[in-house]
Amino acid sequence: MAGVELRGIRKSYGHLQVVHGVDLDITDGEFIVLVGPSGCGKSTLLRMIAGLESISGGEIRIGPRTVNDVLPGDRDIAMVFQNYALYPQMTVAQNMGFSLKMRRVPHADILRQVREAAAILGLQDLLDRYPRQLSGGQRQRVAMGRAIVRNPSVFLFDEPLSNLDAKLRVQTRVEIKALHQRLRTTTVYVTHDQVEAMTMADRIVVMHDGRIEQVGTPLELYDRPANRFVAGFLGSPAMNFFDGGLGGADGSRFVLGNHAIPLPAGAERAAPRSVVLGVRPEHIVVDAQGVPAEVVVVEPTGSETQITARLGGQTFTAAMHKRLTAPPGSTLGFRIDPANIHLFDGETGARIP
Amino acid sequence: MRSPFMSERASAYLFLAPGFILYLLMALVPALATLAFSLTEVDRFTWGISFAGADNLLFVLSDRRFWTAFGNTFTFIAMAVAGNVGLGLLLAVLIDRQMPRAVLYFLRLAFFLPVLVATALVSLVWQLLYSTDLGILNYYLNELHLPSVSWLTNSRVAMVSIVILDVWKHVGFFMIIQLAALQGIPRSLVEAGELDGAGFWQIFRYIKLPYILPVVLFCVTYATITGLQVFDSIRILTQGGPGDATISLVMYMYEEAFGAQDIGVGSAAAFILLAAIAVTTLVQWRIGRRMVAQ
Repeated sequence: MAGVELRGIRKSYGHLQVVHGVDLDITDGEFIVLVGPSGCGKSTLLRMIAGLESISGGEIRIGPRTVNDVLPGDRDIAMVFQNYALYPQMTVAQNMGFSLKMRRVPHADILRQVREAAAILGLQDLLDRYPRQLSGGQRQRVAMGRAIVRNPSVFLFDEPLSNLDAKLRVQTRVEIKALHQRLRTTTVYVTHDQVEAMTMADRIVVMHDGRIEQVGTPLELYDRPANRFVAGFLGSPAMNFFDGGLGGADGSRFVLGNHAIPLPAGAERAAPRSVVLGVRPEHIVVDAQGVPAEVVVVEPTGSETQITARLGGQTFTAAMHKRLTAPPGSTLGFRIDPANIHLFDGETGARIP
Repeated sequence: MRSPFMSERASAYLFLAPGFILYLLMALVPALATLAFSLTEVDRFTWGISFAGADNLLFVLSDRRFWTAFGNTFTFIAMAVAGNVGLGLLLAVLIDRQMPRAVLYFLRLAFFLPVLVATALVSLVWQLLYSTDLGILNYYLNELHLPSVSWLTNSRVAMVSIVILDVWKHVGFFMIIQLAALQGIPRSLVEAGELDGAGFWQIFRYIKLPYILPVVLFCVTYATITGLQVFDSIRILTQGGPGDATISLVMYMYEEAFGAQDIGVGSAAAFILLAAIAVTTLVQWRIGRRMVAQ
């Protein structure tokens, strides 16, 4: 096993730079999730770690070795692809044993290692089948089996669940996490799904436009997002943002139209001209004493109720664990919990502490 | 839903009709006529027709010249299929890589261009290249202090010369087809192979070749069928000679039907050729299906 170090990694296609100097330390045994919208460079970064894309600048280290110029097959990594990339003309056992065969491992050892890996993933009965004879979920497991069979230093996952249906996705998510807890192999996992990121990661790396926006544990990122992008990306329903300004002599109030929301005391605030107030849906409660807002739609999900409402021309969503009905167009009072608000600079989007 | 004008079935037949009528007139009727001719004997002076039964067929099967043509044709096929499909695959593998688009288009066009030229024209040009005394091939051999080769007049070399022309002319076709197959391989399969530690040759041997095997087998079958029909190049380059060293099945058929003007014997030979094509295709198809299934 080994950690992975990225130092100033850059990637350009001609004049177009898609990854702008990424630095990241992944410790041995860690489960890291790279998350971000499509085109943010997360898959490119993963493929550069794998050696499937060349790097335009910087240094990649796996364990003690710099691997910039090492071939993918010699980096001691294994990868699970989004479409699984199983060899169609080989059986499950042959697929899993292929990397060992390429390393000239004796046939008997290949057989034993394939059986061991198959036992971990419950694939024993499928070893003689061809990929076309397997369901999507089974193919996914075979792809994982192919990765674990040779006991690599690092696992790379490239959106491995996106071809599965919703129920199977949840189940497989749990299995991957359990597998990691058992094997403790350093894992880099790419997804655009923030729920996968939140539930699986030891640490999440949020990427946007080829840059790292923030690195941290799921709850660090959820509770103290470094900027407006991270705040809006993690959490479902997404965080509400209100454009407004700071009021009061010491900037202790957030002013939104006719309303002012007191901010918790003690925080240093050199007041920028415009600020954005962020508040998660679960931190807005319905309260008859609160600010009145017009109900747009009420969505019961069973476990909670989500209300979308309009205040001063801006819509927001509140989520609560109680059942509530209100006709569209009616007015409800809402209160924001001042202890759970986030302030961001109106221009840079950076968090104001 | 019912069409207001005619039933769906009737309009389907209407759409099929033009193609089917052409096929009927150009392929099916002549084929049946050939079968009929092969059972008859035509008197060349009176044009009187008499029923000959299996006489024509038996004549062909007992003709040593027919068996020479049969052997020549399969020798040609063995070499031409290996050359066309094998070299086509090699070229496809060499071209199947990252390169500037313009270079790729140029290479594809360069190799495919001979396919578009009529065989007869190509053969006339190669006749000049192959000329023992005036040909450019022997000129360069002599420049290298090597002896001249009787490309078309040495019975051991003549068939090879014909195969070289055939491969030069057709290899681009087989390259294009196999290149398309190679480029249809999902990129992630090759990448998975790279991550599994397979080198260039191993990726080809274990991942790419099995993936495109159905296409390669199609090429083998197609090259075999066209090889069984080889005619124009031989007719122009060697006229089947020296002696009968390069006479092919179609040439034999042509010479019997239009040279000796014995339509019955020529038709019987044509039917044997048809049977040979059918059997060869069927055998290759069976073998291919077994190989692909594995």
